[in-house]
Amino acid sequence: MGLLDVAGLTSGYGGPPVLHDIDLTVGESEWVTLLGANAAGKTTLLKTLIGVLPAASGAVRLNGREIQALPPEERLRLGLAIVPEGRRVFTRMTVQENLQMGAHLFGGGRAEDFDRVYSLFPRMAERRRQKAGTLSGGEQQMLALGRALMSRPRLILLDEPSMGLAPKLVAEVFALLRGILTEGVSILLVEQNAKMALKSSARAYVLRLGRMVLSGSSADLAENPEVRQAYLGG
Amino acid sequence: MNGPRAATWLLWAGPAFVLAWVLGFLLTPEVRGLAEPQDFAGLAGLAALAAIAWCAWRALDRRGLLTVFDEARHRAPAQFGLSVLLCAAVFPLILAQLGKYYWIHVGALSLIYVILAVGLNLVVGFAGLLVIGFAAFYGIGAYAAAIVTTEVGDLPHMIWLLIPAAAVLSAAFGVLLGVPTLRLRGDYLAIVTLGFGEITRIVFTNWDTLTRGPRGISGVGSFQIGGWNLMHPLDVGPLRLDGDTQYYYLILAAALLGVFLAHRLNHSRIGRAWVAMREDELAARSFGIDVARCKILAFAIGAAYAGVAGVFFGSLQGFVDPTSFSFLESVLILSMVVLGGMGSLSGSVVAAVLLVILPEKLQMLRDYRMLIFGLLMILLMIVRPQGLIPSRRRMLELGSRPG
Ligand SMILES: Nc1ncnc2c1ncn2[C@@H]1O[C@H](COP(=O)(O)OP(=O)(O)O)[C@@H](O)[C@H]1O
Ligand SMILES: [Mg+2]
Repeated sequence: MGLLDVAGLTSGYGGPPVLHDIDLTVGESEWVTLLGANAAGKTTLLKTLIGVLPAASGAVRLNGREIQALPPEERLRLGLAIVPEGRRVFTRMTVQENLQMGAHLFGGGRAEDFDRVYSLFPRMAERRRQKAGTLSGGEQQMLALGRALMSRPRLILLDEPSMGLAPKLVAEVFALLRGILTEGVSILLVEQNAKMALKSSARAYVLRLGRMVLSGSSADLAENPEVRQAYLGG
Repeated sequence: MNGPRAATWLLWAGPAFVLAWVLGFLLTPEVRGLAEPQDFAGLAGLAALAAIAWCAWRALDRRGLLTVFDEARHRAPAQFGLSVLLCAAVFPLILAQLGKYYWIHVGALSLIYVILAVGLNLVVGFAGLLVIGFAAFYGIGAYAAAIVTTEVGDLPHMIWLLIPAAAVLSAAFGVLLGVPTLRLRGDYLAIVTLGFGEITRIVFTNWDTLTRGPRGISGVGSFQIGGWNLMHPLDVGPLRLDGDTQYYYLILAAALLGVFLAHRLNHSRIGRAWVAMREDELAARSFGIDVARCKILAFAIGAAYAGVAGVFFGSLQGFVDPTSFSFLESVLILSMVVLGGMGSLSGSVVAAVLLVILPEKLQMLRDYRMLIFGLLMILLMIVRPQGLIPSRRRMLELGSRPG
């Protein structure tokens, strides 16, 4: 049994389901990658996992506890945090306030958490009084990651963090994620840009049209002809 | 000129100028029509004042002092607040010396609108919920005061208890309106709250046994401290404070408290949650913000402000009737919020005072008040969309640089 166990999850937006019968596991201190083309349902899955989108059926367990019926704030308390697609930092708030939002449920953030995030992201420390809207795309991505860390999560869900970033910045994000992983935080990374994701993660899943079609060790999947064809450019 | 020093200087010069200007404004004869020579004198006086204000504005703007002013407001809020407070405190004393007692009454009224505008700003500006029928909550507070003090009998200190009671009652109605409208946003919420305002007004008009219908309720109780009734003239040394003056100070204290609490709220955890919710509801939910609770809280707090304002209004006028809580009243309060700047407390204060005093002066234009407000709003949206005194956050939201 893993940290996160998803079984038979079906979910959508009220119409016909977008996700069908999804099974997925993320272990303790494990990095799992989820691949899938545009509109495969990756974002929908993450939204369902954090509880902002209700599931139609299926079971989601975090650390053995059934969380399907819990609201987002309870899941956050149990250690689930997200770096949403397109970052979605609060542009009108300062960097510091964004981090406070990450720990909103925990009294706006403990001093040691701010210290930890600012030492991980020195550039954020310099800009702590600056509005998040004035940051560059890469900086906003770092801020979104820092914001997620503020709640001391056990599992971080990341939705295409490399989107729109220069290769150098992508490498920086991945290096940070590896650091976070060694601290014992598990990672579920959604990516379209598969090469680096497969290199960094232990296991991977492939989602197509709302169904899990492949899963296995990242190394194996990187060799899989179908995956190579679809996500690794041949 | 050295930036910060200029700013400190402005903190005192600004209010002094405003006070002088307001006094000049009050001394100009009212323009009731265009028949008497004094109407023309009044018009000329107002035109001159408008010209002075315009020139002062341009001069400030040209030299970048307006941004210095904005900056000063944020950097030295205590001094700024103190100088404004000084203005507000001497206002009725000067007017009493001039024999302009009616304007003290108008001043007290404008302070009631300050409470209303700040309360609505919490809902519209801070929480981002477009509520239109706000006068309903104002009316609920006023009618509560009127009904209780006339039906139960005007026990000496009951009206004090009515302040928290009206706050709770209005807040309860706020929750009642908030819960079913949670899923609505923007225009739809505006329409539903507008409907709520109308229903409330119709109830006031038709529930004859309770509200005495269109005749209204007179003899609303006044505030008392010990055996001293605030409506009775009070001699303080050489000064004689009439009822309106005493009410003015009472309401000033309440308005100050209201602004202070709103300010604290804005910088609290709830305030941050409101900002987050307004900016990105989904992201806010992802970080554990209970959006439903935040919205209902905004409704409740805003409504409570209106309820308290209603008690002061009923007691100040001594009379309430349904016409005081019409749709136009709601529009007037919303105009104050928009004119002052969404999410800007000082903006609400200034706009509330302005929009109460101006129509009193331009009696001639009273029938066209709404038309003029409309034109004013359009003009404002073109010239300064962030409001007269924009909040820092809104300045960023609207793409202009923070001052
Ligand atoms: N808010 C929404 N309402 C209705 N349908 C949606 C919504 N968001 C996404 N979808 C649909 O769900 C499917 C999966 O979308 P999404 O989860 O965003 O895919 P991905 O993240 O893999 O690109 C798509 O067909 C999309 O049109
Ligand atoms: Mg997506």
